[in-house]
Amino acid sequence: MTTENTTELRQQLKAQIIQHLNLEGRTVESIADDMPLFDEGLGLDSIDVLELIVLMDKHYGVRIADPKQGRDVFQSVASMAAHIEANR
Amino acid sequence: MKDLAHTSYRNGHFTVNGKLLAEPTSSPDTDLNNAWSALGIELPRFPRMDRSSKLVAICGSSFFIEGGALAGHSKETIGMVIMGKHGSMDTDSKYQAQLDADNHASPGQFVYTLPNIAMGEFSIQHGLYGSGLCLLNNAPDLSQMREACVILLHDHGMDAIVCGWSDIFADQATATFMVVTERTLADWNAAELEKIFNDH
Repeated sequence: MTTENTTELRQQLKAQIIQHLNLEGRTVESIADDMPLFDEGLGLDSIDVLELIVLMDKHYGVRIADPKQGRDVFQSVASMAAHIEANR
Repeated sequence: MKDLAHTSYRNGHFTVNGKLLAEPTSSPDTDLNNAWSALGIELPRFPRMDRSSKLVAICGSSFFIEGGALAGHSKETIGMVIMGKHGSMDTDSKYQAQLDADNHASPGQFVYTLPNIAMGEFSIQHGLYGSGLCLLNNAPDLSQMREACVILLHDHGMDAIVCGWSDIFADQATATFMVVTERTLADWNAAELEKIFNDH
């Protein structure tokens, strides 16, 4: 996948995360590619992870087969995009 | 019962101890957000909570802010008694509609498909460790609420109860909360409380 496509995918993911998780006050521009999704980053929690799993399945047909994978996949928007690119 | 700490939310009208903090707009969801904003409490999770949990958060949280009846109170001995008619039906119906529409259930909605989750969410927000009772009834029943408070105060080691009615379904939302202590029980005035809970 080209760099341009990766950038587009990351932007699309940010918009979908904001919409699916109802992150009021957040904009695509306010989410850095490598910003942590949890704790001091976007502040998501375990329920939000489940929403992200559904989001990836619904929009990209990509599933998390092994729950242990989740820790790496959901580190940031960049890691989510990389997982999607590698598996769809 | 002039010192009774109480809050009320009726389709957008939000009052704390009788003082109006928010008025309705044309959107029930906006009304819930406006009522929460009126309290001035930062809670990133609020927009992602279901509407039942929002209603409990709105009416219960004012007791914990600076100057509130339970500010600085030990979190170990605060219990909850919440009564409502529809339980989690508001969220249940949305969850089912989403399943019917695209066969993708939202985990964020699923976790709220139990009537007592709003109490759990509220307890997490405020770090409460006390006992709680979630009751379903067609209308506010103050004698049942009192009985439940007595059980928690006398048999479960609680010394204050966040007690009230909270009900939301479709676009109708009503809630009335009060803080019940031994003093409240001693001062209990059924007629006055009926007015507070049912004066629409």
